[in-house]
Amino acid sequence: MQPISLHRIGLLVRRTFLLNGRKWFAYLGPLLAILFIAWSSSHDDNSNPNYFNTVFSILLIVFGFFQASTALSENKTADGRQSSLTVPASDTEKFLSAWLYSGPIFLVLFTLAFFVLTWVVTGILGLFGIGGVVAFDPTHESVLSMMKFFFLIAQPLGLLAAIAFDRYAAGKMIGSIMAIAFGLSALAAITVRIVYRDAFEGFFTPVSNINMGEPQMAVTSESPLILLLVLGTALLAATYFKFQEKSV
Amino acid sequence: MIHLQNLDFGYRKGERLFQGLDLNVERGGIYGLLGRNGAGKSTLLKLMTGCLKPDAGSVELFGREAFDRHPDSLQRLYFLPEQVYLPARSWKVLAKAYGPFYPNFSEEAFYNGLETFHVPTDRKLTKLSLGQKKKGLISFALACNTELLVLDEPTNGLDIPSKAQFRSIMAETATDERAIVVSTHQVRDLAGLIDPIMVVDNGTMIAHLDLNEVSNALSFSLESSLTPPIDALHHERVPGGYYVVRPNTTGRHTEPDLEVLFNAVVAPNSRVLATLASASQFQNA
Repeated sequence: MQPISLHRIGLLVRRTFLLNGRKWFAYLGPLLAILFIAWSSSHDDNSNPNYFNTVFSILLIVFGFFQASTALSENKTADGRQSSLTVPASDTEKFLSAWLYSGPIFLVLFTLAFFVLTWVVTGILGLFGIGGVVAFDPTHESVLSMMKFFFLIAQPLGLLAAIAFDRYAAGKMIGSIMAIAFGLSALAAITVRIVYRDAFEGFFTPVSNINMGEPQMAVTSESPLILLLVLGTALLAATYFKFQEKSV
Repeated sequence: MIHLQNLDFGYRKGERLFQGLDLNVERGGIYGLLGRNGAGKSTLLKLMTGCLKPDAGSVELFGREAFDRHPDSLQRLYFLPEQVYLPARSWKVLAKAYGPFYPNFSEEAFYNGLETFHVPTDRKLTKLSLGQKKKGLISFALACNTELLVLDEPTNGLDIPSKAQFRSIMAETATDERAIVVSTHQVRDLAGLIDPIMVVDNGTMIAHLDLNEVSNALSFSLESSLTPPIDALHHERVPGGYYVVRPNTTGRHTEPDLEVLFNAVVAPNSRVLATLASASQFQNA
């Protein structure tokens, strides 16, 4: 059993802030630019009270995924890995600190930054008569559900990318997901055409008026959440075990 | 402190770097780890510090499996690798980021070390030369005040005055409560400092030598002869004659030349090793 000390986790998070904290300023520039462009170029949507909630949800997933994919950046080179491995903390503590930094801490800081920047952007553009006053509401249901999606999928995928790929982790992970999705789609299409071959003329053209039967699966409103929970946990577990096995 | 037992390791299947290697490191010495290029000195240090997992056998670090990388073990050692990794920040940030992990870390000692080595403190670490990085990290390693210091080729990249400073600082640092393991192929840089000496060759520890016992058993001398001394256990051509190793029959101690001693030990059918073995004054690990 690996030891877990809150003190050491705190030191690890502090270390990450000290060494990588300046990256936050790198995020602020693009975020501000995106908000300016989006707000000034979407007059039609400015009356939509959910405008910033929607923009936040998209940016949270994109920035959150990229940020998580750089969370274990020390591990990308043998020298960095060696430096990280010999820091006096257990692998579990190192993993937990990476999760904390790229998850809850990122979420709080990103939400705060977004909240402040939306007021800055709407205030400045409002001086020129562009847009109206639409507040960003971080407690809105759609925002909260996207935060769940961030914790369950985007962050775990980012962390897995960080540990699985040494360079261009985010890009490689997106490529891998697309390849897997394409492969699964192709497999599903081929299976359907083989199993229901009577419903097709040749391999591609479906015969009209064929009843393929109703799906009998019991899908409840909780099913997607449970599925995401299982998937997110599996991704985090895979990241943890891969992290633990790392050597120079 | 470190106990390696029956260690097997190889980077590729079927290619063994170490086989059945045993080694103990205890408090109170500056252990010199010597070996040819590719003998696996750096790998051995990585195994000792838990950065690599052995294929078989055990590596115990402060009573725990090294590869478990238990924080209690890690905070009692500092490992300075040959290739150093430094963030694009300053020494001040590095001290704040890493220092608190070591219970006995002294910021004052760290800055004193930087001053002694004349390392600039205001520049980004990635902009420093290899020697400056090494000296800064040596200062940090010493400021951590750990019981075990593992240094891989610490004098690589150091200029001549820095090598002398390094030797003097290491001599001051060595105490009975601490062990220092130094791997090097520049043995003359560490002459008079390292004792005992461990020699790795062909995947095993071929010699674990206490220099006092070596001096008891062997005599080292420079002979201005034009022909090789055939009765010597080992000889090497040097300007002005031959450097000769013979059995010590007089009881007078002579300072061994580490480079010559190393060459004598790793020579095929080494007569020096055989002499040391018969004198029972070495430990075949």
